[in-house]
Amino acid sequence: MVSLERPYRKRVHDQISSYAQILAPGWDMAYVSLYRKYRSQTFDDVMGQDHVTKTLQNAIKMGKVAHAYLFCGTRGTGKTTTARLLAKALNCVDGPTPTPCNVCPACISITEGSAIDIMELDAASHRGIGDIKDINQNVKFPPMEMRYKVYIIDEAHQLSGDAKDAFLKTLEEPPAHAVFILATTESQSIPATIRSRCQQFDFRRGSLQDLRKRLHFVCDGEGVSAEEAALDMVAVSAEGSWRDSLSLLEQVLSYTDGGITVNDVNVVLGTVTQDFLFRLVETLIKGDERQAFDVAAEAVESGKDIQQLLKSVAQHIRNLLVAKVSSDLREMTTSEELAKKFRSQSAELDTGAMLRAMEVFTEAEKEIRFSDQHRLIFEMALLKATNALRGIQAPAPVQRQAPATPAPARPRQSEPAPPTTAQPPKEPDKPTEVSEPPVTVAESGKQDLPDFDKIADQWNQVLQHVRNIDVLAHGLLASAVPTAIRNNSLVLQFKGKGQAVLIDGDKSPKNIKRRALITALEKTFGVANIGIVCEVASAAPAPAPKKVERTPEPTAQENDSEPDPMDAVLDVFRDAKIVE
Amino acid sequence: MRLENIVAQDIAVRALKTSILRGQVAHAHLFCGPTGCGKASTALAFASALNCTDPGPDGDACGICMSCIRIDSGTDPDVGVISPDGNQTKMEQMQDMIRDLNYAPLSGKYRIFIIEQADTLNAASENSILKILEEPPPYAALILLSANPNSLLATIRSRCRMVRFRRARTDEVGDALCAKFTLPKEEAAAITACSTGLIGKAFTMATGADALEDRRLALAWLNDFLNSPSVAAVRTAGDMVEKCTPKKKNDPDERTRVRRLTDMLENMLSWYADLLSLLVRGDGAVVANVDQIDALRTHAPRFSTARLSDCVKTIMNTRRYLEGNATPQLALECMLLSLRPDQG
Repeated sequence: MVSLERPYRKRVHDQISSYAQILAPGWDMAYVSLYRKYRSQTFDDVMGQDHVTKTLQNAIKMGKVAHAYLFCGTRGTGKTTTARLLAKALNCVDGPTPTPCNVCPACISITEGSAIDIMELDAASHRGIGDIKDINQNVKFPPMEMRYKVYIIDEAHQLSGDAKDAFLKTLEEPPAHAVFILATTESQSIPATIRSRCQQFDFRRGSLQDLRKRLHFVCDGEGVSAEEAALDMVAVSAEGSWRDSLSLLEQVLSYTDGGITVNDVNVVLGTVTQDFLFRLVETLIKGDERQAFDVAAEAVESGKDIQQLLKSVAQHIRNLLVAKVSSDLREMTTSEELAKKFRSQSAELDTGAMLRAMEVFTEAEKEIRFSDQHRLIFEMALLKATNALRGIQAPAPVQRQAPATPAPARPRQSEPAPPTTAQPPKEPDKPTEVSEPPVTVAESGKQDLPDFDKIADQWNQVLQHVRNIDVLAHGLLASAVPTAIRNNSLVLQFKGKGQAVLIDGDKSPKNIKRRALITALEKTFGVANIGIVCEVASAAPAPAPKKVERTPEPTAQENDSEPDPMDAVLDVFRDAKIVE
Repeated sequence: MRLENIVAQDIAVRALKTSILRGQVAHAHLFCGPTGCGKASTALAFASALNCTDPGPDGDACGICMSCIRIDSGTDPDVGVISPDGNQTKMEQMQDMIRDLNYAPLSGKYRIFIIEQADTLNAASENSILKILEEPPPYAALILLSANPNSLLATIRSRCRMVRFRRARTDEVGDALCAKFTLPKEEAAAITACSTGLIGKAFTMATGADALEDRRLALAWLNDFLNSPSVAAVRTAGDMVEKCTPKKKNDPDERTRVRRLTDMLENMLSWYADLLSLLVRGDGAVVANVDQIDALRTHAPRFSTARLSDCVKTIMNTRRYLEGNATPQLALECMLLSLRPDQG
């Protein structure tokens, strides 16, 4: 028990993890976590960081080792590992070598964490100026056993401001025998003064392939068999972090007997099967709420965590989105079959719908933290998602306006859609796009417009009326020029997008600016509810303002000559109004 | 406490037991799951199992040895429980823990620290345990408990073996209640409905009558209101506020009223959730508020799904307003007025 005090002999030594020496004899060496057991011990073994390891090895070969390094990168990408390797490479008995031997006393003591010349400082729990002063004082003494004194300062972003400043002089000109390695996950909180004194290396996230390779290697080392798809899932959940991948693998291993199966991974990570996700999204696409609820109930009643479930669904839709826009699905899955399934499901959806559905689920995931009614939130999300995937805006009630004059241009084909979004619109030709706000607008119940020339002539008068109603609106409209009448609406051209959005962004009567303009037009020409379309002037000179167009001219927004599918919808539902 | 007695966490318990049996106990665990699902009890049971002098063949604690008794009574020197100091878990607490971890265990095999509500760790304390969490001494077992693991640093999560806790199914809550208490059938059903799968919550409700009474009233008022003209909103809101205002003057717990009101809203939410379920799934629906089934059946056809989702949103928002110190009477009146069905 004498040795108990040893870690306190020197402050910096607090962090040296030479616990083997303070254990009571007879204590069998404990189980070591996979991510510690399989910590890389040679540069070649560090995966996916060739740009770092090659550079360091070359520097050692050429004897050009810098005195300070800054290792940045997300968690579990090998910063501490590489720092320790560098310490070994410098101090190995075989002289500074790019391939440390791992058998000499120096290497062994570094691996064990008992080397007296390697100071691994936890900057997060020793963040004060006092701790840095200790380093400043001690660094001038030459190493006791080894060639270099290596200071590994982990979590360097947590050093206090004063500590960082106090460190600067030492970091710039340390004695020849000292090497500093700063490691951090938050490179942005390292001040430029420290950065400029260090050689900075950015560690990359691991690719799916690399992670899988490592998982295979570890599974072999542990003597367990694993299904390919199961390892795939673990690798995907690790989000590019090697440590995460091994933590997750360990989590699964502690649950399974023998081999790792997809089912094990699902049970332990609380995730659902791909098949389930495909089925659920299928019901959403079909717009079958009842079936969606039934499928969801399956998962909920089997005790799946709903927060995780929401995350998985959002992730699934994101995968569909990727499958839609990209041909490279390697970061998603390594299975060709699964990739095919993703592609075929994504073909049924358009990107706008997917984005909206994704938003619904991420929103619900946020909401769920503040409520205990998890199931309710999930079901609500499903309802909203059916609407989103069908191309209809989520439950915001559709506004109905009584037509001002009952004289629609064409006889009505069918009754207007009911205000709720519970039923799909009757046979739209293709999924409707609602995602392009600035292009179209239909104001219901409008009358025939006065001649364009008349409007152009009396525009100043209109502005005057606007000014009387709302001075700010007048300011906005000062830069606008009426350019044409198109689709029975007055087209205004704005210099800047900002003004156009203020008028056109919100088309409800709540938009005071827009209302002011419409009222002014009514006052001037005696026509109520004139439709307004706002355009932003492109870089090319604006078209001559005095020209009447009856047919739409291709503009920046409407380059293709195909009719806007929205028009078709609006033809059928005369009273419908696009609500943003 | 033994692992065997933990209700409804079979996956978590199995993983923990297996790791003990195989001698593959991780040095750091992160238990995550909603508050009241049994994380803390499991952590203590796991600690007992780790240090038990006479563990069973399945790796579970014996429950009668010296170590188990000490852990049950909270006096074991090798097991530390760290709970937030005020609203936060402070860096000093973490540094104390790191210092204590330097000493080998006194009697058991492991020195165990249980950090409750790990999401209350502030930024500095989170960072300060990163190193010890990655490479603690071999006899260390750290157990972090959190209802919100996502609010922890990613670097912390990646160092721990995560153990997920789930909400119990309705039947599991019911069984657990029956096993521990003798309750009338209706009361048990009501508690089960309110517990939303949280055993801890169910047990608290079973021991204190307030919550049950509040639920009964909240749902009765809601039903009354839905059957009366809108103007009744004023009376109903008044009733709710009066019921929830503490009888004693200068009640030390200022938040009582808000908490009770939000609990009532939670009950209403669960009622609306059942409506939604009934409306969409028809007869196949599984209803949480079993005792309310008649009222639910009558009301369900009067709503549309869009209307119901509006109602749900309104209740959720109102709860947020109440927590943000809105005038209860006003907030509740507004809420009630927009809870009405499409027709009538």
